[in-house]
Amino acid sequence: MIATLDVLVVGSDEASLCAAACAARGGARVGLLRSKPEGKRQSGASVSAVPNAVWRRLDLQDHGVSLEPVSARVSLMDDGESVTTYPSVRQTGAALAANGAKDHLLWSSFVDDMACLHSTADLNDAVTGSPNGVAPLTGLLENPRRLAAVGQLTGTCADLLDDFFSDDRLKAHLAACSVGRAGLGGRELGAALEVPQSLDDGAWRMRSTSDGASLYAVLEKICTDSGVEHFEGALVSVSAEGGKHKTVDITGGVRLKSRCVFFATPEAAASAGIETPASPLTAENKVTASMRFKLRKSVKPPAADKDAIFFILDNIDDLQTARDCVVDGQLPESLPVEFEFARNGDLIARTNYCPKVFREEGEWRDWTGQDRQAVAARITQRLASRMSALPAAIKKSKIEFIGAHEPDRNTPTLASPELVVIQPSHHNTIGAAVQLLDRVLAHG
Amino acid sequence: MGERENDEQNAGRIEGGIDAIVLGASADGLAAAAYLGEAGLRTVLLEAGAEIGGKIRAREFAPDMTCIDGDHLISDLDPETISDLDLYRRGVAYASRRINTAYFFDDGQSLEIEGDLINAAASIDEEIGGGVAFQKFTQQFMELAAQLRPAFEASGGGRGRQRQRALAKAMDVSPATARRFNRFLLSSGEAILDDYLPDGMLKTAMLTEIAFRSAAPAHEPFSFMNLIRRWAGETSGLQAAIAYPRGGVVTVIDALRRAVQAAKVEIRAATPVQQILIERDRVAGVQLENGGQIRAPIVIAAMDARRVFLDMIGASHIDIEFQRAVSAAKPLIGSGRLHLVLKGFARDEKTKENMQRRLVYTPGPDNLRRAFAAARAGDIPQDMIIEAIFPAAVDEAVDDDSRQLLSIIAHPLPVDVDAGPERREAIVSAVQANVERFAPNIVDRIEASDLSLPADLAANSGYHIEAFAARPGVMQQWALAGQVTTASGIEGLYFCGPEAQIGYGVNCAAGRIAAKAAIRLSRRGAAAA
Amino acid sequence: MIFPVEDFVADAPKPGPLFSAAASASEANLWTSVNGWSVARAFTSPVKEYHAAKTSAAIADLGPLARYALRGNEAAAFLARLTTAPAARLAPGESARGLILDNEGAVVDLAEVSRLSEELFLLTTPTSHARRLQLAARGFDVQAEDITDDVAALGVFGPSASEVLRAAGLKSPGEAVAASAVVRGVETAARPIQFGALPGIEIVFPKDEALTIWERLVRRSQVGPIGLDAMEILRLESGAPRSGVDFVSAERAHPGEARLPLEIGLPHLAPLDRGWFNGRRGLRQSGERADRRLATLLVDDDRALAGAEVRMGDRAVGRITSCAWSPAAKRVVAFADILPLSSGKQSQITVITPAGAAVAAKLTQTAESALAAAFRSAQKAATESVR
Repeated sequence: MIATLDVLVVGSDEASLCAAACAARGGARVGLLRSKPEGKRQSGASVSAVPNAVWRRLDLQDHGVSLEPVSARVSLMDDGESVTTYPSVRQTGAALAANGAKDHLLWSSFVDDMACLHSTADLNDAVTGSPNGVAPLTGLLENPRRLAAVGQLTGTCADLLDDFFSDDRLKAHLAACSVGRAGLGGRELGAALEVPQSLDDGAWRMRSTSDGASLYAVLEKICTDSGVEHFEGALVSVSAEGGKHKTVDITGGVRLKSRCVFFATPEAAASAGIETPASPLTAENKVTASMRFKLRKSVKPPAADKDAIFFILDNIDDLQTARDCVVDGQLPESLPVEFEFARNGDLIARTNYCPKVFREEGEWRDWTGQDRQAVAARITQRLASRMSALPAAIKKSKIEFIGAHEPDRNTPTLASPELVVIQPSHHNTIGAAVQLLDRVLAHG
Repeated sequence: MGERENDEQNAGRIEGGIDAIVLGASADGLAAAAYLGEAGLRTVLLEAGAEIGGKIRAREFAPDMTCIDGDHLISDLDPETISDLDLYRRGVAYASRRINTAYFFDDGQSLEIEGDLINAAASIDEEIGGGVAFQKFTQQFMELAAQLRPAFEASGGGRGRQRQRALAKAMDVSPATARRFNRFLLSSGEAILDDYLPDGMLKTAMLTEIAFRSAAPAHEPFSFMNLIRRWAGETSGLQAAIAYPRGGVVTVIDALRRAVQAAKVEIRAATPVQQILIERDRVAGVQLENGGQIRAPIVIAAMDARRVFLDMIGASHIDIEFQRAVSAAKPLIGSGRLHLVLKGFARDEKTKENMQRRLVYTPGPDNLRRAFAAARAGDIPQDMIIEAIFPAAVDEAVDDDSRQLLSIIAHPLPVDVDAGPERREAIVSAVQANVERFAPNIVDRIEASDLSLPADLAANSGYHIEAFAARPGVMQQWALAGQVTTASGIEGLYFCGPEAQIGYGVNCAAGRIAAKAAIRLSRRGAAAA
Repeated sequence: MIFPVEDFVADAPKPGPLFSAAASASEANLWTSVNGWSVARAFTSPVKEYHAAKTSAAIADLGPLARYALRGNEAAAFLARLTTAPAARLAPGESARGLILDNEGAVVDLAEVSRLSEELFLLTTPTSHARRLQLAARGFDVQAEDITDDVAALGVFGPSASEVLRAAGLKSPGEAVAASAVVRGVETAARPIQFGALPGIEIVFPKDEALTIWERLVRRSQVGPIGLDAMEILRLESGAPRSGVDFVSAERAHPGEARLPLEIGLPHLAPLDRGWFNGRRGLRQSGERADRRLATLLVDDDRALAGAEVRMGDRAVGRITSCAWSPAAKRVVAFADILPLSSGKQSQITVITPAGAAVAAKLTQTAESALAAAFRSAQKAATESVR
């Protein structure tokens, strides 16, 4: 029998599971397609916060979930200095003041202003390309105040930050926290959108506490309990035929019918071999590299504590330079790297600044094994530049690439691409995915 | 009344009995003045420089060789202004109504696209391929551009609602259409072109058009709208055409000047304004630098926004948020204008025909991305887009000569506030190197050359350099244009400087809209009295 | 100057420079947080403190208010732009109240400007406005310095405020002009302020010497401290709206929440003919429009009723935004955000208690509303004489 679904959610991260669970609890017929067998997932990395509205819908408190915010966001500069921001406005202000930044007095105004920009929700919808976000855009042209916000948000991250702060380090840090996650450059138009998003409540990343249940496991259980059908494999094709329900083929000869296919993150889509549609929030032509280090002995981070998230960058222009390299098919020299320590003591590093295809002597070429090694070496070298004790402590490491072209993997054929909905990169990953799927289901 | 030199006697005098003042004799300023004059308002047009025309002016830069600063082609001259001000009768004539464009690629190939874009696809060689896709592409987006035309018009005087309607109409009601449109609005040019055109010369040519004169490269968000904006323009009754007016773009200025004179508007050149006077939140007139004062209830400002709002009105008279919006963006990328005098040209028909085109050199998508990255970082890019025309060849009115003027716009270049001689030399040789790639050995024939950069135009006109830098994405332009034309809140002040315009080139629509709004205000005032 | 709303989530309130003195004086030990600072709600009992301030004098820690020192050639012009206070017309030593408005003329915050010398001003606002100051300073020769963390401030309220100061050896300011004095090597500046109808004096001094000054006042003048709860009664009786409670800053307002000066009963603080200030054009365009009105009600009840519905006849016209029991009126005195009422129907006003009962209420005049009324009638006279 062919399963008939309202939506097939493809992906095996918390955001996909959350979206699937919420939709299923809302009464939709939901399928969840994951590439890896259940339970084989290595976790421990932080995830975006579960917004209160999502928490309430899933009643996560009944499942023993307890999440703890990442303690701080820390940028490690090349001269050994660092800039730290905290979830608490007060604490951040005090930390900036202690660092001698003149800008600390502006911090709370900045957070307020960004919240204000962010809360013009229709504007955000409009410019982030959400499915029904067009009509509000026309309304924007009417209202001078809104127009000013459009001007700010569609501009560059650098312009937005320059308008507030004078301290280059602070600006570099804020850029790393915001556009770094999407792999954008600081001087790209539209990158400004990332800044208010990165300060949103849901954007502050969380970890499951060691005594609480793992969020992933709980979400899996809720999915099963609320009738989500689990599938394993990869997407092969979405056909154009059929009435409301199109035919979706997945590996292993399994065929289902679904009204739409949903990706909760651009990474999920990239893993499935699908190009993310262009959006100011999602950098194109980039590959994300994620590296996990098993450590022989623990390594102390150079600043803050082990519960923080760290960014390695050399100066304020780094992100743009790196982005320019990516666009040009080069691996950036001073690669912006983000890292954190997992619960089990592993170190997880990640960069969004690897090119999709390489350019060598004017010719474009695909990834090779050497390139993979080069990225791994570059990431390790960048980590070592901030933690000299690291190289000696590495037991083994594993690198994974999201979005890189793999010759042995089939790209799914999408005969009706309008049925495939992909949430653009968003700091509030879980909240945005749930919201978007709600809208997709409501609007058909 | 004719032009009159400003003299010492004016100093310290207060003039009254004037209905409206126009600041800045740019194309928009002239158009606005002509409209006001025709409506019967006693109008004075004040220009700080000795000559009128704003950034467009003719200049002799080598013996017997005159070049025209500013734009060298017309792609979007407001048809309403042409007919209202009777510009055709006043001397605007096209030497070439729809210039074909010849694209030259970095691999030595070339491609010609007809000036009449709608029919251009048919004439494309089958060997080149992609003709069918191109036809579909032009058809769909020319249609969209035509629908969006009102949305690109300068705002001001309650224009917001009109633009909103235009957009709403363009987007139709079906969610699918809306989603597609949203994508066009937000996407990079590269992303959309990837979907519509196969790799090849046509795609590269379109990419070049998107990137040309834009501050944002074609792989960044919002850039696709640049093409839609350009195609929404209309010249000589043909959508998206490019024309060369007989005698150069400066003849448009001359025609506008005649319209201004016919409308009995007094033009005062060399009359710099120090301050716009504001009393009780209304415009009261202007304070001249020579100490004189002209009082009037309406002031139309056709200068750059920073000059008008920050210098002439001053921070102590404008709202805080408005000030921020006017002064927020920092320009990094601009275009350079290079004029070359070339000698020893062949005069056969073939060469002549070749020279009658708009010549565009494109370094290709990869090099273009690098060029923008370099320019944004403040370096002179190795590769750049070159738009070149031979005015004498295009303009049949000019006799062929053994010496030829080649008029070039090179893009992108970094915006230097102060470019020293070494930097200028480096720019000139970089531009020439790119010209050489499609016109080999041209350097040997250069008799004289002249480079003008945004900083030069700013220095000549007294504008801020931001006014001459490349414009960012359409979304940004929309936001800024909406702000400068509506949000100052000062009654009687209308703005039609470069920031009011979306897109580039001589357009005049901003001037027309500002003047019409001013006339409405004046009539309301008269009715109330 | 009126305190802003208390912090919604108290995020580890900082102890101010006067904290240890206040803590030892506090018998009630009842605290709250304002702008991130610890503030005492009551020391003994609010009613006692209220009576002291009404009959003799009481001292209050005014440290949590945001304070800025503005220096430079164009400090006056800068302040005239930022606030509606007539900064340029102040003589050294003089102070004036004003409002901070946004571009559309809606109220962002209250403000108080004092001219300390030709080129030095002190700006006091209930909440911090670092960003607004930064933006407003562009194009002006002015240095704005946030001195909130560097100074301590005490308010002395009550009819015998001057005597209190004199007894402590501090110079008392005149009717309108500030005075400065050096007390045991500590530089202090005292200026007259008004807490609604109550005359008061504010003393500002470096935070390191805060405890010395406090001790001196308490010992020599036998004056007691007053907490936020008692101040709230005084504030409501005098008709001074509180930011974040009775109105929302236009910067943070949701659609429909922003209020014009007239709508919060402070039109006299933003007169259109006073010279340009930020938001004046927006204000002029809004004309005499007042969709809402913040009115002081006396409610015939003994319990506080914040959030309660206000009715006129059968029609709901608004809600109570803040209230307190007034020992003087033996009633609840409240601010209500209501539709503009025609004066004839005032007798029918009722307030619905949480239990659902309707209690009678009446509009009343306060010191602030009297100023507003006087301003409005002067304005009307001026327009008529022009006609």
